[in-house]
Amino acid sequence: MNTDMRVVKRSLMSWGTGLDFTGRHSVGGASVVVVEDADHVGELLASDLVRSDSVVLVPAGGADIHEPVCRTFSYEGSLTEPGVEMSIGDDFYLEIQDHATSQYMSLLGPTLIRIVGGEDFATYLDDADAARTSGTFREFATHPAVQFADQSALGAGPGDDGPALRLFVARDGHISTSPGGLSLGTLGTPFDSVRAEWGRVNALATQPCSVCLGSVLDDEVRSSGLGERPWLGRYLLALGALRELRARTIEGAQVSGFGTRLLAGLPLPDDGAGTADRTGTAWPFLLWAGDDAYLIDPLPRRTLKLERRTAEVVDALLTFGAVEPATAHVPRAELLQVFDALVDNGVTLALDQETSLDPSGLVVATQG
Amino acid sequence: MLRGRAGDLLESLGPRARVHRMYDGEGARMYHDISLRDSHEVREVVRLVRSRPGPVLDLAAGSGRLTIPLLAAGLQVTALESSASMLVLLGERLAQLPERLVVRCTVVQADMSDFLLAALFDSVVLATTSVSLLDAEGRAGLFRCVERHLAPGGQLILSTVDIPSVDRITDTDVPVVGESGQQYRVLEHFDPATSVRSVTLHPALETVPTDTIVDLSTSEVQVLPPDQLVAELAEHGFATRLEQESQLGESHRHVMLVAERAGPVS
Repeated sequence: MNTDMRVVKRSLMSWGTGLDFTGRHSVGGASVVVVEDADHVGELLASDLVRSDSVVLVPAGGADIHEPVCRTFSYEGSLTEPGVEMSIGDDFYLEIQDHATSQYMSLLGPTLIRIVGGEDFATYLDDADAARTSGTFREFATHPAVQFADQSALGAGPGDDGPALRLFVARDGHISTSPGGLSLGTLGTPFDSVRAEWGRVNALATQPCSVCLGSVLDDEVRSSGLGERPWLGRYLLALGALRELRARTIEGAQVSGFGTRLLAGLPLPDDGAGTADRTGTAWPFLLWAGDDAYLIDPLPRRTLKLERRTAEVVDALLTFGAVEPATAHVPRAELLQVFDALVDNGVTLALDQETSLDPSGLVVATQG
Repeated sequence: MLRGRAGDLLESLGPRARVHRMYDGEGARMYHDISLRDSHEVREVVRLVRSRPGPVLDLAAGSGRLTIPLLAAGLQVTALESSASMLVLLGERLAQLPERLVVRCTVVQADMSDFLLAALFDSVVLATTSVSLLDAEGRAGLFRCVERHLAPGGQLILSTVDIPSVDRITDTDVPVVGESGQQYRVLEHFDPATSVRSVTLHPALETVPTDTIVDLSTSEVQVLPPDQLVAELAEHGFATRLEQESQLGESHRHVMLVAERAGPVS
């Protein structure tokens, strides 16, 4: 894959998900912009909505762009309509699907799953609830070729999402961060005003992000759904962890804290015991399939393969976030032995030394 | 009458064999099991129906292969099916869905070549090449019913399969796994002289204990080439466009068509 295609893929992934994979953090303008109508490109490129390191995706067939101020790429198809594919040249295809019908479709390749209405959001919550209580994850949601769009509105938290990361210029000239988003202005609106409007709307909301699904989903419904499920960020990360394993042909993995624990007897996050892995999106994940287990640190994404017994001990440490309460399930000597073994392998678990279950003291550094 | 490999199997099984129609009783149950893993056409039908977001009539709905995704897409769906066995299976699937989907589904037991509903539909769907289950007279009845039930500007979405390049009898045996995990064999016998396509579905013999019954589910249709279907639709005042064409296996050409009234609504 050439450099340009790598840049496009990362830019598209960032634009679709609202997570920053671009590594571009210049000031002023958006890192990635998708334009729905090629006639808007000239005005866009002349505005402060883009910067020199922006990537702009433009529908094919428009006028030639002379001396663009940033990188532009032509695409065929659509990035907004469910059931439709977009392509860049002959090498890259991305299909858009809505969440509600995805379980009934076969996956053809890279797919961005969108929430396009209330039924999609209701299905998203149903699937998350099922994963949380029974450990059953939808097959399509954990497919390595799938990404969920607009994750900051689905419980991932604000992260790096916002106009500095991504913009969408609709056919009517309105600007948002996503095709399903609230209008933040039109072509001609200065970038600072677009960003200010994004901030204003989100300041009024009870759950982030109130903009990127604001035109397709009632925000009270969205906020209520997220508020009742403060663990949705972990659900989204668990999906990512399962996709990573499936990409390595490891199928059928289970996730600790989602309907099950590797070590029998450990409390589940929603049992009322206040476990350390209930909601935090920086907290590592433990997954297992058969006799193999994997410690996955979401930020930065690192994966460590563990032997079964070691994984059981790690399960106790990650569940409680502290040694003392874990001794009710694993001998202290073994806890400390595993802790030391992880350190020897470049993994440092900085556990809370108090008996409280507050995970704020946990820092995980994994080997490269 | 079972032909080719299916006939040979029937003879070899002797009293162990129990033959069913494809969409009734045990036949329906086996067909349902493999259909749950069949997502063919779903993407295209959902996309097409979304372009006309009004009520949908799903003809020969079976156990809901298209009905359920259409409900998931947020549409109002009437599922019409003649087989009582299939309707039982559809009911079981609907019972597992959230109420917010089920309330948008109307289930009707009726013959797709002769029905009358108190509703008009923006889309009528007849997928899974089910139009070939009807003979010419049946198809004429179908098209009259569709015409009567299509809303202004509505569309009929239907599919058929052709076997164009075969000039001798073919007899194939393909393994399939159902949603239950049960392994099946699908036997297909095609005679180009008669254009009769016979399909027989049965559990893989190695999964059936010896000296127990082996259920064979069978169906026989006249292959309906797209050109013939388009011509028949034209006779009933429909203009048709080819929406999608794909190759299934070595010799089967699957075609999805969209038909609309060709002139002003009388």
